[in-house]
Amino acid sequence: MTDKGLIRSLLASSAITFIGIVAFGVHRPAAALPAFAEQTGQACASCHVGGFGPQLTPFGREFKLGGYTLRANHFNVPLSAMAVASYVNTKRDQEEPPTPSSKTNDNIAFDEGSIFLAGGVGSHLGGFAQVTYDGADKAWAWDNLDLRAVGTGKIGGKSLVYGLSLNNNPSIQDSWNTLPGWGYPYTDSGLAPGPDAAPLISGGLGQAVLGMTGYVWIDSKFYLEAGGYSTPSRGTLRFLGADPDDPGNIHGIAPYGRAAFQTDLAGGTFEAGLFGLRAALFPGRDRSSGFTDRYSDVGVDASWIKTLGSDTLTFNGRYTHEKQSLNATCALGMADGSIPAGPLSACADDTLNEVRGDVSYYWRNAIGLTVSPFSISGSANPIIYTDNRTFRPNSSGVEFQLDGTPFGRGKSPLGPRFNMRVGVQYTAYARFNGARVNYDGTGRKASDNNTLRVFTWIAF
Amino acid sequence: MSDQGSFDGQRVSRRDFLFTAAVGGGAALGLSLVAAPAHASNKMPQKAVKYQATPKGNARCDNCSLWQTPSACKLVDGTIEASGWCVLYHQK
Repeated sequence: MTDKGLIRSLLASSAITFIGIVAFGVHRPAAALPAFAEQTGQACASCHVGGFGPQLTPFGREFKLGGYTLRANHFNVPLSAMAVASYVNTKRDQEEPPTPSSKTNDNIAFDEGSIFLAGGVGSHLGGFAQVTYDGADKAWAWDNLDLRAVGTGKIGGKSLVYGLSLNNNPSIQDSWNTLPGWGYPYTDSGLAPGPDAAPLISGGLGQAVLGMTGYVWIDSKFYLEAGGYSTPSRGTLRFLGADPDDPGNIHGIAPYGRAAFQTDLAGGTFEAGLFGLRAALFPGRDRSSGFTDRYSDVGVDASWIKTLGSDTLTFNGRYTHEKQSLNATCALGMADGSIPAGPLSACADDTLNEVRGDVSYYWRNAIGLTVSPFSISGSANPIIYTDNRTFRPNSSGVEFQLDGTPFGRGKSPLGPRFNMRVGVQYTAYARFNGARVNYDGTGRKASDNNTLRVFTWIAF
Repeated sequence: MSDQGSFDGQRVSRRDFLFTAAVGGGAALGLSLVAAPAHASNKMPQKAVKYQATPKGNARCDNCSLWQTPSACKLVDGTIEASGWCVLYHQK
């Protein structure tokens, strides 16, 4: 059996086992809510702020931390699906079409469609696996994965949940909406312009790695997690629809750690935490330089959520600091002549800082307004940021979102399984790729990338 | 030189073998750990759902769709008062 075959068999047998366990739990036909809502007997709004999307209520966090095992019925169909379509307009035309089949402005597109296998089996196993058709790439690929084995007990008289998560994106297993995996914005478009620089943990390894983390959740207050990530083989990633060379393969294991404290505060639920990831990558899987690109990400985060009658107010924020030593990228560039020869440290060593926050108010879990400022800044590097006139990665701005979710409480005329959110986003850039004006040397302003997006998002 | 050869070859690479063994072993270890926990339950701790022994207006556990007579809840762990309430309350 080839290595590709081995892993394919492993994944296939795991999936079959998972589906099989679910199927053998059949006692009665499914009710009619999306998989987790149906499983718990709860309306979407019990777990999700605004009754839709990934922003979790404190109960939703508990459900996730409990390994998705909470169940009010004997069985439900563990399948869900969703689709997103949008219209994207930028203040000034983009310089090139973002994809071969799109235009430089005013794109109407099917962003993505996903199918989820999602459910809990007994008291100890649960999770979800998502496959997505990307409208920009026009291809299917694996998407978020979070499979858990959990147990519960007592420690010092306090409740204890402990578990393992097998997942494919550092922070996708997190239960707060502060970290990149499930942070705002909860929907975006591949056809909209965006800053070039971001810390590795902000999505850089998503669906390019596979990792396992172990965690404990004590007294619904203290969360501790540690684990590591590695890169599946090129053949496996290709089989899963991912680009096997982007961003490269991890040398050894990339350790990930997370701690959080949650408590009641001012009538709401407050959380503060720390997170970190270290990774040494062979960029594009090229080991020939003998070096790796090293990334050290550390961050702090905080959130607060408060119910105000039938309304909900939320805050999420995080700060990430990244130290980069891009020795491999620089050595490879110097070897092929694309980077001028010089001291490796002058090219390789950089820092990045990312600050993101969002405040949302949801009226009756139906109408929501979100304001989300963001800032990315870092050291100047004329070699790495050669396309930026200032040679800096700095971008900043604010995003606004107004959305409506008419059926988040399970009252859709098309049945309780059907849910929909429609919304308008506006992203205003103060800085983009290093500057406010003429950021790329061609006279383009940061505000030329200001983006209006109108989206429809359905789930069933 | 790319490492393509070692990944697309016709045999199991040592790295992939070790990786899958580690993931598989971890999963097996995890399953064995949770196979017989001291308090096996997939119900929520009372604190996690802000359970209180008193009603909230007319909302009380014994008129909730999750109520299980005489003193339990489908989703919340432990002994539940008929006159109690929690965030999962949903009228029958």
